[in-house]
Parts: sequence; C-alpha cells; structure tokens
Amino acid sequence: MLFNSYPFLFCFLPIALIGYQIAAHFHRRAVVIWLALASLGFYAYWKPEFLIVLGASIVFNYAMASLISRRIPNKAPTEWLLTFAIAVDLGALCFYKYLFPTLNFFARHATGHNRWEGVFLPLGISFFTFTQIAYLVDLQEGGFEQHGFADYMLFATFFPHLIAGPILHHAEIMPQFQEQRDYRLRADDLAIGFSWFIMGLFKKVLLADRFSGGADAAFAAPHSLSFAAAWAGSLGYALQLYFDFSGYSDMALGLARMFSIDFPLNFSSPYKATNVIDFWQRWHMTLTRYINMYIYNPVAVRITRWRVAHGLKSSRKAMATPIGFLALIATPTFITLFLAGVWHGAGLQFIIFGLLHAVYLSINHAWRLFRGPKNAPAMASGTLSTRSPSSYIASAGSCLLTFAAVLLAQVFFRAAGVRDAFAFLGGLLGRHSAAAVAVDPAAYHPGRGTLAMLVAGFLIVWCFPNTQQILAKFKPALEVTGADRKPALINFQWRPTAAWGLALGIVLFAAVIKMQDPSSFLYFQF
Amino acid sequence: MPSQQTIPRPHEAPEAFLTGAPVPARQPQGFLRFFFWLFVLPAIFYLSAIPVVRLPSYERWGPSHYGPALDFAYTTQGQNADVVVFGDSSAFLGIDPRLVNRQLGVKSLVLPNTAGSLPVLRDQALEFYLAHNTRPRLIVMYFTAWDLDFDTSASTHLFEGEEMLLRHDSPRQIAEFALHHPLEFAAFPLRSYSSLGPGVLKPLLRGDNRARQAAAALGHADDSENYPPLDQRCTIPSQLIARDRAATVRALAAKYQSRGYEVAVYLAPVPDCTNASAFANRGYDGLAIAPPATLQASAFLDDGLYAHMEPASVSEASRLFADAIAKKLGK
Repeated sequence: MLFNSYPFLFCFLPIALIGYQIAAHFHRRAVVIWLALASLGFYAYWKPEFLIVLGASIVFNYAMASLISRRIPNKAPTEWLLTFAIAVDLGALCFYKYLFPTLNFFARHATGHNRWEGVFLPLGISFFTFTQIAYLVDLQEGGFEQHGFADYMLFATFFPHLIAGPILHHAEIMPQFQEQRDYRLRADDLAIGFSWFIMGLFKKVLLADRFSGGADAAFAAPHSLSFAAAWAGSLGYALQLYFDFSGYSDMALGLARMFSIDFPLNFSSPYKATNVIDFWQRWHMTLTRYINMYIYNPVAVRITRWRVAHGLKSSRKAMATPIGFLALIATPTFITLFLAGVWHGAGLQFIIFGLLHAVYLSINHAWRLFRGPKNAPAMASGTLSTRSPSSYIASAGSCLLTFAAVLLAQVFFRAAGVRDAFAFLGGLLGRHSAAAVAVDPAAYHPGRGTLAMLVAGFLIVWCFPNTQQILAKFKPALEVTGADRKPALINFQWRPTAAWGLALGIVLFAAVIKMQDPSSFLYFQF
Repeated sequence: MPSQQTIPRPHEAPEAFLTGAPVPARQPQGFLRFFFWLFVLPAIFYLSAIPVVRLPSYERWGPSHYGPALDFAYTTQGQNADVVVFGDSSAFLGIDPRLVNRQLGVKSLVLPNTAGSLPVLRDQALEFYLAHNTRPRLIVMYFTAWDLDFDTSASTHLFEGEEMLLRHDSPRQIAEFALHHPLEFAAFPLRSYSSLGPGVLKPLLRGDNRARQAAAALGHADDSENYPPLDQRCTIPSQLIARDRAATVRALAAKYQSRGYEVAVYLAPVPDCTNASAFANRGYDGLAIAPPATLQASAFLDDGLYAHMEPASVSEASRLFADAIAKKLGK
C-alpha cells in the first residue's frame, strides 16, 4: 500500500488509529499485536502472496534468535548459527533481487526478450532483511535479552518503515514498544505527526511527481539529448529523487509519531552537504549507519587486526601514509560502497555508482588527512553572525562541487545501463545536440515551465529549512544532526496555530486531488 | 492496564532536540483546535463542489473539459431537428451538424456524450430531447466500433456523466447514483477540482463561452487540448480491437425502434493504422451495420483514443456521415 493513496489515507490509517486507541484501553500487548497485524495487512494489500515471504522471514529469524540466545536449548556455536541465519537471509534476498535479473540478462542476450519479466521483488525485502540481520548480529554479540515474539514482529513489520525504511535499530525502537506508559492516542503527537506527514505528501505528490515526467523522458532517450535537455533531465531527476525520498522519510517519521513512536532521522538536506562525507551523513542516514556498523567497521577492524598481527602500525600517523591510507581507509570504503552499489540493483551501473562514491569518499578522507582540517572549521561551524563572507563563498563552492559529484553518480543510478549512462553523460557535454535537433526540434530546449520548476525546486532545497528544522520545537525525531542545528537561509517554525492549520489544510487538499493516480516511491524498488 | 501516568514528551523544547537536555513535561494546548483549522478548508472545498456544479452559470466558468458541450443536450427544447445524432465523443468532436445540414438541406444536431458519461447517463439526453421536441425523422446512434457496449466498458471518466447527473437530475436520482456508486460519488469533488489548472484561465480571460459555442454549432465542439495529429505508423491498441460486443447500442436501437422511431447505427471512422482492417470484417454482435470508413491517421488526434478527429478533418467526416444517412432521408 502506498502512503500517497486513497486506500491508505482514507481507509487504512483511520482504522489503524482507531484500532490502536481501542487496544490501548486493554493492555500494551494488545497495542503491539494490533499494530503488528495492521502492518501485515498493510503489506498484504499489494500482493498477499508475499506475506508468506515476510512471515517466513520473521519466523525464521526469530527462531534463529531463540537458538542464539539459548531460549531454545542447544549446544551449537552461536557463530555458526549466526552465519547460517545470515546466509539464509542473504540467499533469499539474492534469490528475489539478483537471480531473476541475472537470468533475464542472459535470456535477453539469447532470445531477445526477458523471460522472467513477471517475477516481482517482494516489497521492502531489503529493509526487513537488514533490520533482522542486525538484530541477530547484536544478539550474538550479547548485551541484550531476546524480546518477545509480538514485540519482535512489530519491530520488523511496523508499517511506517516496512517498505522503504528508515532501517531501524532494535536498541532505539524496542524500548519504545515496551515502555510502561499510557498508550492512548495523544492530540499533540497526532498533530505533529500528521503535519509532518502532510509536508512529506507535499514533497512527494506536488513536487517529486512534477519532476518525474521530464526526468523519465530524458533518461529514456539518452542518445539524442541536447545539451540543455540533458542538464534539465539530470537536474530534474536530482530533484525528483530528493523530494521523493525526503517526502517518503517525512511521511514515515510522521506516521510513527502519530502513534507516539519516534524514529531516527533518515534525511537531512543532503544537497546542502559541503563534502561527500557530509553528504552520506545526510542521505539515507539509517542506511549509512547500518553499512558503517555492519560492513565498514567489521572490515576496518579485521584489516587493523591483520596489520597488528603482521607488525604494521594502525595509528593515525600510519593512516597518513599512502599504504596505510589504502589499507585502513580506502579498502573498507571501496568494499562497503561496492556492496551498497550492488544493494541498489542488479546492474553494472549500480556498481559504478557505488564505486564512484567510494572514490569520492576516499578523496575526501585523503584531503582531510593529508591537508588537515584547515578550512573545515570555517566552513562547517560558526553561526550566521560570526561567519565571514569568504566562508560563505567557500561553503557555496564546496556545496556546488559536492552536488556536481553526486549528480554525476546519479546518472549511473538512474540510467537503464552503463551504455545509456555514458550516452547521457555525452548529452551533458553537448555531444548529441545535432542528433537531438534531428529527432525532435521541439525538445531541443526545455520549456520555461521546466526551468521555473527547476529554479523553484533548488530554492526549496538550498534556501528553506528541512522538516525537522521546521518542527524542531517539538522534537520530531530521536536525535538531531549537527547540520540541522545550523539555521537555513529562510527560517520558519511549525506551531499548532490556525495559520499553520489552514495552510497545511490547503496543501493536504491539493495533494489529495493530485493523488488520483498515485505513483510509487523510487526507493520501493530496493 | 497500562499506567495512566502520561510519559512526558518534550513539547516546545528546542533545547531537548538540539542538546538532549531534559525538559519539563507540558500538557499540549491547542492541538485539538489545530485539527479544526487543518480540516476546515478541505471540508468546505469538498462539500461545496456539488452545490457549485449545480449552479446554472457553472458551464460558463467551470473548469470541466467537456462539460459545456455535454450541457448542450439539456438545452435543446424547441430545436425540432430532422436528424438527431446520439453517440460517444467521436460524434460531437467528429461531425459538424452545420455542414451536414448544408449538404442535405435538413436540420440535424448532436446530443453530446462521452464514453465516461454514457455509463452514468445512458440515453437520458436523448429522452430529454424527445420529450421536449417534435418527432425527428431519424435518430442516428453514432459510436466508435469499440464503444458499442458502453455499459460494460470500465471507463475511468465517469465524472463526466456525474457532472451532468448533478446538474440536471433530481436529488433523488443523485442519491440513487450515490448509493450504487459510493466511491465514485465520493471522489467526484476531487475529480472536479483536479480539472483546475492554468489552462482553465485561458478561455475565461479570452471571454470564451464554450457552452454558447457548442449551442451555436448544434452540439459540435473542437477538442481544445491541442493534441498533435496521429502518426502514420500507428497501431490501434489490442484492448480496443478486442471490444467487439454491441449489446448496449443494439438494445437502445431496439428500444427506440419499438417506439416507432427510424433508427440507424453509424460507426465513426477509424484511423488507417496497421491493424485497422480488424474492423472491416467483424459481425458487430449481430448488429446490421456497415463497417467504419478508414481515414488517414493524420486526420485523427494523437490523444490515445484513436477516435477524435483533427479539427481540419471534421468536414470530411461530416461529408461521409451525410452521404451515409442521405438514403435514409430520401435524399
């Protein structure tokens, strides 16, 4: 079920809220069971048969957790149990995500068409798989007691995060499900959560979907794009992806808040980032945290241990040598981003996307290590009143450079294949302009409407506060990012006033009108 | 039972969010009032849609695309035409009765409908016409070859019919429709607002009165969407080819024949796409009619419907139509 659809907004959400309120009169466990069942219903709405995949995944992982925690008595080494569980989880993920695209790749080359086109990826399989693997890894390492099945099921399935994240960590969510408190609906949380949801709906329905037409058309014809059309398509896609994912994250966090649950932030104005490290701390933040905790850190630790075992140093000084840098920073970065690229899709273009970001991050780390953080304080900290004009210019330049690097990688992220991506890059350099005129002279220059939308989009992105800044007075999420503490160029804050109510009411009505043909979120495919 | 003590949440607590410092709980004030303000305008907009559509002046300034043309069918008192054309959108966009009249020396007019209005209104416009005018010499059912069973085709544009229903039917008839199609009825206000856009302002600023234009053209209207002509390499979608049933139109023709009217069924021209021949040799569900004429693809609009004539080709389609009914009129 899509958040931006009538069945969700007018049917599922009211029923989920009313059921929650009724269950809250009985017991905490009733609330947990109701939300878990409602979440399963939410998932089943799309394709009921995939409920079997989700259900099997939950039962299997909970059983493995019970074996690891010895709740089911056994003598098997916990490392073996964990390895087996991860292998099964990743096997299922690969089966759905990579097997059929790979078979289609060979079938397309052998027969000219996709033979397994009708095979669908179960929605959100990456997200519920990753969430559960993290639970098992942490359980095996000790430090917490295994939770009851109902709590565990809700943790894995809670509908605001089930389909496309944020990727939750049990340590931040389980305590909220287990808290001894009054679980009845709260007017303040409903108001804050629903306002946040409406802001997300605005981004998705009224902004992201407006950019999708131009971006889709540009990426569908990468070999015959004029210089202007290629740039308009590429910038349009950057804005579509931004508002789509930002809008989804706002809706997810807002929905959780309506049930008095705080989620971690997942998106924090990434196009305002002044370097690529900063970008990854703002874009899909829970994925960055996940791959840091469960891929980057373990790899880095193993490399460090290997170096220590072989008499090599691993200090900061050692890192600042070319060999040390390659071993201690570049290698874990490349492995992590390679896997992140593969996670995004079965295609060489996604691997290139990941590796491009690995190159960016390595250069960024090398810059910091070898040049030192001379300029960083001026650019990254300071308040509006204390910063000098030159630091603004330096920040703007860094921001644009970072955005250009991200834009380049996004061409690979969006293109249908590597050849198309390179053709699109050729369009950005103006190499297909003659062909573009021959194919469709009318499409040679983007229209005034397109340009106005792009300007408006980037004004919102770069000058306006993000939604957690707008809601900052009401603690909208579990934590705040350093970036969110800095004020935006234009500032305003949400309050439960008549003016905000009327304004959001108009936005809600406009979005509901536009929702008649709902479009899915870009991150649903992962 | 859970504890009734409310867990403090840091409302109005920037310091908590920004620094993590504990803050005293504060009972939320004004949040319920906020919901009133949030929903008041959407509720007003939503509930006012139906009364606004029922205003007599709505067709002059309303955003509805085909509404002004469809409304003409309900303003035909005293027209007393010789030939009444009843059909889908291919009729009122495809033929100009004034050209037919000039060629045949009779008075004809079109009662406009669309594939979206017909499942809701069925032959209501024709019944209205017959109740308010003298008996016509000929009733022509003018449809595209794939709209002959419009009762069973799942149209996504039922709001076009709902708009006419709301404008011209009694509250009881409206309530009956709402009872049988609750979701459609509930979505009507949203669909009517979705017609709003910058394009709505253009005719208003130009002072166009589309309802009056449709009346002056005896039910004919030009499609104002400005679609390009259909490409010669076109293929009519297989879903349209597969719609070969004709039960609804056959029943309608039989109904009026049984009441003593002369009724003819005419198929709108189809574009000369690669698979246009599929319409030449089919039985049309036992309906004795001539196959549709085939015109070059560029005579049609590329609006995805393969049925709407490009304005410059309306004269040719009108001439073909006049030729076809001439014999029935003894011309």
